[in-house]
Amino acid sequence: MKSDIELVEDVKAGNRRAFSELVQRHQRALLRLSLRFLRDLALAEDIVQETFIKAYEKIHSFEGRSSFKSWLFQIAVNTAKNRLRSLTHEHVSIDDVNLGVDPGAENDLVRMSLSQMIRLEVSKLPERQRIALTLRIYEDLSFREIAQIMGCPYDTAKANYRHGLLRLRERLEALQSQTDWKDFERFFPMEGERMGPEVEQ
Amino acid sequence: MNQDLQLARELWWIDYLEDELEPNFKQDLSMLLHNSLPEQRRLEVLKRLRQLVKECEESVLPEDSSYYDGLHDRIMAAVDGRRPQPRVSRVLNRVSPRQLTPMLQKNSDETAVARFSRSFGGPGPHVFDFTCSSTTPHCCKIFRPKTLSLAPVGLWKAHVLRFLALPVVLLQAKPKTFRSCPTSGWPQKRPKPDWSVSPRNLLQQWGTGKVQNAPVLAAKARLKRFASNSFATLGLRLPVVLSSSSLTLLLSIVAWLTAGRDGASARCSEMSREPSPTTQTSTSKMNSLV
Repeated sequence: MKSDIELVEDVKAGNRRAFSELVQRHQRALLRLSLRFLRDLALAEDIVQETFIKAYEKIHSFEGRSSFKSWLFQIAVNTAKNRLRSLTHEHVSIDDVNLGVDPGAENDLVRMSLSQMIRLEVSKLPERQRIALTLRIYEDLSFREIAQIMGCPYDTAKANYRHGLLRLRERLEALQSQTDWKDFERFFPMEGERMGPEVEQ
Repeated sequence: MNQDLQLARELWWIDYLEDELEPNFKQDLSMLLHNSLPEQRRLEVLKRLRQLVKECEESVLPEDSSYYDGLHDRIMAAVDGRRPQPRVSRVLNRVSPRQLTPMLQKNSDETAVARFSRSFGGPGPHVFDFTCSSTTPHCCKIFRPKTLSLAPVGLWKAHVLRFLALPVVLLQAKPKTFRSCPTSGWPQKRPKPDWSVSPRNLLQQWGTGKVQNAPVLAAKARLKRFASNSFATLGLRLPVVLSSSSLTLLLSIVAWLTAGRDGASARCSEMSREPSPTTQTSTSKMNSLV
């Protein structure tokens, strides 16, 4: 079984079947990654297709300094970011906008499960922190690979991840103090001595 | 200070959790963890949070293999009409004109000089004087010799005419003063002459009567100026031109010619004064007859 780099060399030499093999290897991971960013399967499929088209067209610019998967992820993340920006700029009909506040909105927070709440808080993180967190926790990538995908230095990728995780913890602690939700205590024991005496002061 | 220390500890524990610490430091933290209950809880919260984030992922990915086969076929069908683009070489990337170097950008004086010489410099004999006085700061004098517009003339003719006109040019060189402001793109560039319609083409167009648009009229004016300049150079300014090295040569020629003419005339006068043998015989015959 050929490695990714060997297959890429074959594609550069004009072997289309090698690219087909690469698509089969990585399409699932790319779909999962795109789905995390866009939360819509049809859009995620578009991102995967666009990513592979771009990769095929720019295959000669791949020099093998990173893994092929990281390179594909980099293209996919950039494509997904661009798509998200274009989606936010799209025109929204006035008929689709709900004016006013749903009276049951306060209870929605309580009804939400803990995982839903965490997903919501993750999506509220700044873009770079969210990408670093997603790539590290869900994809189990090293910080060096994350830095390559995000196009930033190693320390920056690491800092984005750490600050994202800390911000997430702060948000969940704030939610815990606002609600009397018992699920939190199961996961976050908020006792006085948890943070140590110096924090309480 | 306390908050900074707390943040540093949080970051340590995150690195500990992600196995991103140096082995020695990790041993120290392990020892701290073993002896401190608050630190244990701190690490435990982070560990649970990471686990929760990982577990909360929605697994809506289709598991059917036919779905992925279809996706693969669609991707390959989309790729079919395309081909890999050739890699752009780095040489091509550098085709764009280079800007001023950062070192020049930092030093405003050198930048000004570089821009000035780039705008007004060239192969001509230009002299730049950048000495600024207290009354006229940012003032520059340029001794730019007047040159004839010789573009329509052939290159060798241009060189000959330039050589002949050099003394005139040097005599007529006047200093021009340029006001400047270094922060506003100083110095202003001279407008370049419009050579889109050369006088030669203009002469051709005169024959067809197409001399209406602005460039043609400008070229017409330039042709007139060129003609007058040429006439002045060849006619009125000729003595001035000859006042230099060529004057010596001309004077020597004139002197030689004058000397030659004087010698010939003197010889003629002498010849006229000397009676010829025929006239001498005729006069003697006349005298004898009388």
